[in-house]
Amino acid sequence: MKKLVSLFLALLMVASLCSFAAADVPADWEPFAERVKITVPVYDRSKAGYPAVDDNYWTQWIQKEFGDKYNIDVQYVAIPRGDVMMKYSTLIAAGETPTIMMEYDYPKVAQWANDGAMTVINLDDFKAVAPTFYQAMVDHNQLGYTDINGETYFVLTERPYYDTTFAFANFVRMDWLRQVGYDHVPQNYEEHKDAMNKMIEAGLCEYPLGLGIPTSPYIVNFGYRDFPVTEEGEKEWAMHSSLGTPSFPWYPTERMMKRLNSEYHMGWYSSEFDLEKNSGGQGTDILQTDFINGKIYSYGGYIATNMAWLSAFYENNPDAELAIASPYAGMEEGVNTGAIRADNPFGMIVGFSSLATPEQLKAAWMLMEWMIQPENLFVLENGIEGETYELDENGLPVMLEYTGEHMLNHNNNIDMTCLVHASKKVGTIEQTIAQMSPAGLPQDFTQALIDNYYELRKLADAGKAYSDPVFAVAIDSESEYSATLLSLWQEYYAKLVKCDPAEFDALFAQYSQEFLDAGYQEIMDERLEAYEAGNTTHIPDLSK
Amino acid sequence: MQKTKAPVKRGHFGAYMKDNWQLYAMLLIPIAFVIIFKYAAYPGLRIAFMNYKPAKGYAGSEWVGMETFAKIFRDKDFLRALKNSLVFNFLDLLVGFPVPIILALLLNELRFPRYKKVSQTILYLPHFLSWVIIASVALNLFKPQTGLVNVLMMNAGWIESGIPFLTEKWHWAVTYLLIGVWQNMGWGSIIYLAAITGISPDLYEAATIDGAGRLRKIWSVTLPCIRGTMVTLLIMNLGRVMGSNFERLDSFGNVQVKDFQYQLAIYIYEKGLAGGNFSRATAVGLFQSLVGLLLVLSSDRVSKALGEDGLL
Repeated sequence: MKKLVSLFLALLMVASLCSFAAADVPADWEPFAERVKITVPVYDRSKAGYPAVDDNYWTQWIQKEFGDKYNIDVQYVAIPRGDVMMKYSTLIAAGETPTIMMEYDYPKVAQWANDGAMTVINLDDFKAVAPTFYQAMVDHNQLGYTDINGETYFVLTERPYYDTTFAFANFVRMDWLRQVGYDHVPQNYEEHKDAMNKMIEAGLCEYPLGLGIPTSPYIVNFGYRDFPVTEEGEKEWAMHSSLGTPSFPWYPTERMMKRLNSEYHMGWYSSEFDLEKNSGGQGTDILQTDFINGKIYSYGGYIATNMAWLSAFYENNPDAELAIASPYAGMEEGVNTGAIRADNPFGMIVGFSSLATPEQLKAAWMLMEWMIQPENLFVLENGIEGETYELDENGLPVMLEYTGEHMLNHNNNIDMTCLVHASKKVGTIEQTIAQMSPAGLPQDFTQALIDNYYELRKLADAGKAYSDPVFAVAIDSESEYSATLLSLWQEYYAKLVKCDPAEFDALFAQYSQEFLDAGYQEIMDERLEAYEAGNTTHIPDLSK
Repeated sequence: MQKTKAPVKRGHFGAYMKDNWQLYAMLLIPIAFVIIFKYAAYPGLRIAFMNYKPAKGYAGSEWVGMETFAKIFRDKDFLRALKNSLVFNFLDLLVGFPVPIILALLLNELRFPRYKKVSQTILYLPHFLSWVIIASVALNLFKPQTGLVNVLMMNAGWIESGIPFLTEKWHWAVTYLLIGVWQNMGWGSIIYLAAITGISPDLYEAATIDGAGRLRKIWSVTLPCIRGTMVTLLIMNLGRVMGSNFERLDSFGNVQVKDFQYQLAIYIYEKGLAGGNFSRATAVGLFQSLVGLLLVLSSDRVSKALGEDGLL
């Protein structure tokens, strides 16, 4: 029976590849008469062991397979991941705006469009050059996000399974849990609290959890918001919920900080946490080091076939057992509903330089259309069979540990293929997770990650996974004040976590007022005005 | 006095250049540096008077006159940054200025040449370390609970709980200033040592004959002879009182000491560059330079009035 299923899946894969092969770039594409140069941004994450992001085998492969064929010079521009806006500003100021400009956050691209760095585009022209790409946008209901200030600037890439956060997983010490009497990961806050305190009592660790000063303005407070969201609640959502500016003076943040404060005083965190920055699983930080060294209970990160920090963890802790944390571990009546932030229903928001000539614009669109063709995308994401991947019994690619000349860059070249989608997708969600699941470790997490996805799916289906509002007009005050407000948020975060619990309420009220005066009130007013003028998206369940 | 080379005829510039062209060629590099990085940027100062948008360029950005300056001076964060910068730079000057002089005097008194050389090298070394490295070493040494210094003192029973060298603003201020002195003192002493080397041995001989001991010679011969150098360096340092070193502040900064760490470089980065507000960053930079220039000119006047050579 198993063989029959495998055979059926293999046939399905072959059939789908055949149907992919049938799709191709438009037949009327001709090479440009004169060489056209386009520049394409690519994130530089400064990760050791990877090839240069702007000049490697795969950038050269694109040049050979696409560029040379159509007389286009495709040049990649490295954008430091931690300093995106500064790098773009420098390029723009130097008159070297990349032909393609892209970011995951709407306020950033809105700022570029507003400042005149991006050109207005005609979606009919785009559709004529890139019909497959355009159709994908239609299929993913993305056409409502292409405009800002009444003009069309953007095209959008796909974000597979955007309403779940399955690609990010928190790994926890199951062996420690067993030692304090648990045979499962905590399923609510009561269990979580009990387990943490017992771990301290048992002397398993000095402090069980890692904490650092936030480096991003995004406050993870979805779980602390009232649910279901009322109409009044949606108005507040429009004023506060954002990736670009910390939603500090808001009741969910107050609830969250109060909990952190009580946890700190129970001894869950290092008293020196305020000297560390938390990269949120995006890079090497002290929390990661502590986890690898077996000093803390959990650490989270985006899952991928090769996860160096997990390998290092097992090397240091060969007898350890890990599990995936439950998404319900924070739930507590009246405090945390377990709601999560869904991602935007799009990946990269892609715009084009205002300096681009019509030929460059066309060449950029051609690159996107070429890259979205499954056969091209497959090679870019998997590499060369037998070297970087091999096919399993279902005909699906399994990535190999390979560090030679044809090595793929960070997360299977995601910073190049993000021009098409935000994460690699292979068949069903089970197959997608199976090929992303960390390999070469003493434990296999595939099934646990699939189970985790379905738990997240339940939250999403219950309406507990929603995203932030997307504004169809630029919020000027946000670009003016967001850097200052991030800095204030970092300062208040440390002080509120450490303060005497008896002083918490007074301090929170004082800091909230200071935060409002430092520009947040202006941002709220501008957002509310845009919301009331109908220039925002809505929370899906409310708009039904 | 015997000369090794025949003197070049006065006015014969070509021959002089031919003779010393290597030296002039070497001089071209610093001249080019100053022209490119100090003067070529001058036209960009207009950004301070515009609502500058990189995508619109100089031509497309709107002129706003003094509006950016008015906005800055109304901003209480700027006033806080300005106050902190002035206080810390004066303290830096107060603590940091005499130390290289004292160090130069001490080094000058060392008689065993190899010991002197090794000491000098060790003292110069911190100058070549970046602030990021110094700050990470300091972090590991001075963390309140797990820093080496606190751990040693706690283990020795000298203190009960760690001293918050880096996490309490007053302790931080002292740590920050002293590490600054440590980093600069060796390098700063070079000029004074060179000045001391130029003092005629006759003066010391005369002082010895008059019965002066070591300390008397330092007080009555060495210090008066290097007074000109001291005044020149003091004037130059005064020009930096409005300056601000982002690398040093950012490396040593943490959220608990923001009250003191928030200085002009941080203000320029946070409210200017990070927010894409180049006009504000340039306006603050221009303000710093103008005040710095004013301080140099006025201190030059004062020193001349007091009978010194001055700088200009």
